[in-house]
Amino acid sequence: MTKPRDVLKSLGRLGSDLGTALSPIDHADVLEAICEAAQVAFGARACSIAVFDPETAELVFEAATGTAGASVVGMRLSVKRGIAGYVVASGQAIAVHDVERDPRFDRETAEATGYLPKSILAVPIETTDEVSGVMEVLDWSDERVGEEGLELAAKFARQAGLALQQAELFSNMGRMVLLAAGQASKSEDPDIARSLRLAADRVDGPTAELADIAACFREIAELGSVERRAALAILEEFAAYARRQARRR
Amino acid sequence: MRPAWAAAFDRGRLGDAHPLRTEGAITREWAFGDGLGAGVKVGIVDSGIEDGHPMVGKVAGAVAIELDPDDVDGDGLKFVEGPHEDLYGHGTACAGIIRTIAPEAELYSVRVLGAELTGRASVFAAGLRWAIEHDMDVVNLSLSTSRGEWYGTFHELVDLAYFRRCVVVSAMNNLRMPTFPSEFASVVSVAAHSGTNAERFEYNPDGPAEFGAPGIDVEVAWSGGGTLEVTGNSFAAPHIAGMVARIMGQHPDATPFQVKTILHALADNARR
Repeated sequence: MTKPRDVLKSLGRLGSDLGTALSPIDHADVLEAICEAAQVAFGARACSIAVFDPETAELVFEAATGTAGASVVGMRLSVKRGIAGYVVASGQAIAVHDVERDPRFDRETAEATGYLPKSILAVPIETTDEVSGVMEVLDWSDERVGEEGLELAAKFARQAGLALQQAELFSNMGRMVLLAAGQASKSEDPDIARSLRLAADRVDGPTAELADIAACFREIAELGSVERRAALAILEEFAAYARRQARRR
Repeated sequence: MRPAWAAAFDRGRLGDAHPLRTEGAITREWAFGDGLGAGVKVGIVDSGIEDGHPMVGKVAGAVAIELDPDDVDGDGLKFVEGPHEDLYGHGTACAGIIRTIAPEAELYSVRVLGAELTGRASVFAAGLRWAIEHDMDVVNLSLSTSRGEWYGTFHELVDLAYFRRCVVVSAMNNLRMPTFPSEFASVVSVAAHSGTNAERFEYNPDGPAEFGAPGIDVEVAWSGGGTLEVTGNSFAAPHIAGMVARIMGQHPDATPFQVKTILHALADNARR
């Protein structure tokens, strides 16, 4: 007989896979689209988005358009360096007209990207967990944006923040479903709550075969309300079964 | 039986009030005296201050606040008192501006901006609290948080400052969004105007940016002993903090609301 713990583990995995499968668009695509739009709006030579990796205290470039382009994506730089690091650390947006005169400018990193800008406009990207990245616009046209440049850049950064937040939610869906269930059943049945929390801690990232199941769910979701209700009824049956199993333990 | 707080007004317990005494309108001479700000303690809650920078001179005291993962029972923070470096240059810039305006004020570096990014609002709040509890007369905050969950903490802190006669000067964010504590009415909030004359400032009756001071393309001190031309509300706030230091040097008993009244009277757009 399947142990409740295994059931929960599978459920968590399924949740995470579902999250990935249900995520409407890959967040890297969204970030790149934002860079493209910002570059056009600013009449700029390039635009990039870097996301903070708390494990290594580095900024990782996740999207870039223009002169530097795809070669920048994946590059990492210490948060202690450069104008990008300054913006992430201070949480303040800045516009630097002549980077060569600014000691914050990290020439080495800029050279590694293959493009040395003259001016950089950098704004923090915020999510619920404080500043989580930075958007940089390189060599923008003053005639195009005038005094409103920082405000405009902040609007693009806000979109990037929402995209990152959404990606985070979808990738953690399984864990969050289990945590929420654990929270909900805390007072009535401590065993279930503990099992759910333990299972949540063990939820890994998506796996190939479960992603297929997730794709199946996605298909059902797109069919219509009758099919969705039927799928929901089956899932609820399953949840009731899991609860019974847990009580018998 | 008496309601709560009535005892504070008992004879013998009630402290003296110190009304502003002026014959006629408030003038710069009356407000600033020699304008040196001697004896005034100014806390700069920022990225640290480069001690001995030609535009900064001597730093009177310093504390660096960081997250301490080993401190599981306490507040999760560690306080390292003693000299430190400026990790970014931002705090040195603010210190240089205050030094220019109030040359004899005592500058204290409260470092809260470091390489660590998580839990930053808690470190920032701890820095402001440290400054208040160490009897700073003026606190310069060229940073703020946009985190709504910190609203209550910062509200409590600026109220604490207000009643301890500590004037908190807070820069508005460079972007138009609510940030704390710069939005609160008990602080002296500052945004940049386009002038470069360090002596000029304006009062904005509509708030929330109550005062305007230089902060666009201004030359400031930067770490490494040099200078840098910068733009940001961060650099407007220390101009006003310097003015407050001058006022507190001449009127050490002034309350935050009296200081604001004096700033209001001295503003370049005040009708005279």
